[in-house]
Amino acid sequence: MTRGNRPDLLGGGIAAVLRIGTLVAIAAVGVGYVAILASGEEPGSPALVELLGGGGAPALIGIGLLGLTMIPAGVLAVAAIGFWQQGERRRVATALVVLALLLASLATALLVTPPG
Amino acid sequence: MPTDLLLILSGLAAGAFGALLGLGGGILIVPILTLGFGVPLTAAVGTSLICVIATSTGAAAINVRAGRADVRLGMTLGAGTVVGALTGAVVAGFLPERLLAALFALLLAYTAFTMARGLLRRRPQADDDASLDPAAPDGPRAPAYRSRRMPLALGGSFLAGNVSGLLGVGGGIVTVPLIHLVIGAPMRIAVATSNFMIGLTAAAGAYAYLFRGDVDPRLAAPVVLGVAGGAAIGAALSARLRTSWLVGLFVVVVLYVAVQMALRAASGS
Repeated sequence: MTRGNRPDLLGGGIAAVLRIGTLVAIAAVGVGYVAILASGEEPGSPALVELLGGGGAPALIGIGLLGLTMIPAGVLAVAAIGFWQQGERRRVATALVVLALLLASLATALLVTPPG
Repeated sequence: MPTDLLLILSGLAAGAFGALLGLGGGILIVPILTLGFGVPLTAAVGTSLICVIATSTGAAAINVRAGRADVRLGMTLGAGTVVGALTGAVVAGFLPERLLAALFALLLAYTAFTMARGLLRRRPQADDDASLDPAAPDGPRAPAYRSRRMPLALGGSFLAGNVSGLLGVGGGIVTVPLIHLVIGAPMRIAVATSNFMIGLTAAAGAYAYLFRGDVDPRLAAPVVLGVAGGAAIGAALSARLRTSWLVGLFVVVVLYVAVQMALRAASGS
């Protein structure tokens, strides 16, 4: 669907990010899971940074899980561009504020490590 | 391997049940993992949040494209849920497991009460049925309505985020009534918009669990895969099934699980 000759980012664009993002992330988890079953690895429950750094099948699962959590950030980025194209400046600001809050959550989680 | 198979089947059941009832599935995944597999509550909550994202994004893609989800409203309220979810997830790392179990038991009891009340009050109208199905294939485009009481709604969305980050659910049990009753959006828009927000909310909460090592990839992978498959099956079945008997079954199951969680909280085991 297009608005003039522009792609409809607020409908089709967001839907595409949601659909493709989910498929790619689930595929990464699936491939990693099959590989971990084949290798018989037991990675335990490391923090994500160590999980990704360790490489192999557990890291692939970690990438898939992280990918799932990053889909909303992609949605917000596409929404901001879509609102910009439609001249809705206040909505652009809203999308960017929520995106900043989400990234702040990521940064806080990375920096603050309470007892797990 | 049998444990893996059971985890996948549990995820399938939670995903299908969740999709049929318009839930993220977290309300089922957390008790299944803690009571059924002996997983610590914080690990179950972290795994559940990731599963909730997977179920939300699949349905949200359909709702956004069909114009049923109000993206503008969802993003605005998302500011409240994101901050609330982060707060809840960080706080959960410091709370004793017994307190978390007691809070989850309360949430389950509230959910059962809400769904039982909805079942008793439900009118047998086609429009009412469609309003409960965010994935209905030919729902109307979003009708015009004027958002009201936004400051109150933002406060409520912070609370919804808090519940999500603390207990590993999507928060729809709070956001749907919030959007419908406080903002004044029609029910089907409230359900679809809440579903759109759930991914955002759960992601904000999930980071804390992922980065402090509360998500075991060996455990999370089969559950996520099962939930994603189950949600797709549930969404496909939802247009063909009458869900009233499922809601009745769900209420009984949730009440049973609420009692089990309360006992766990009381005994500390």
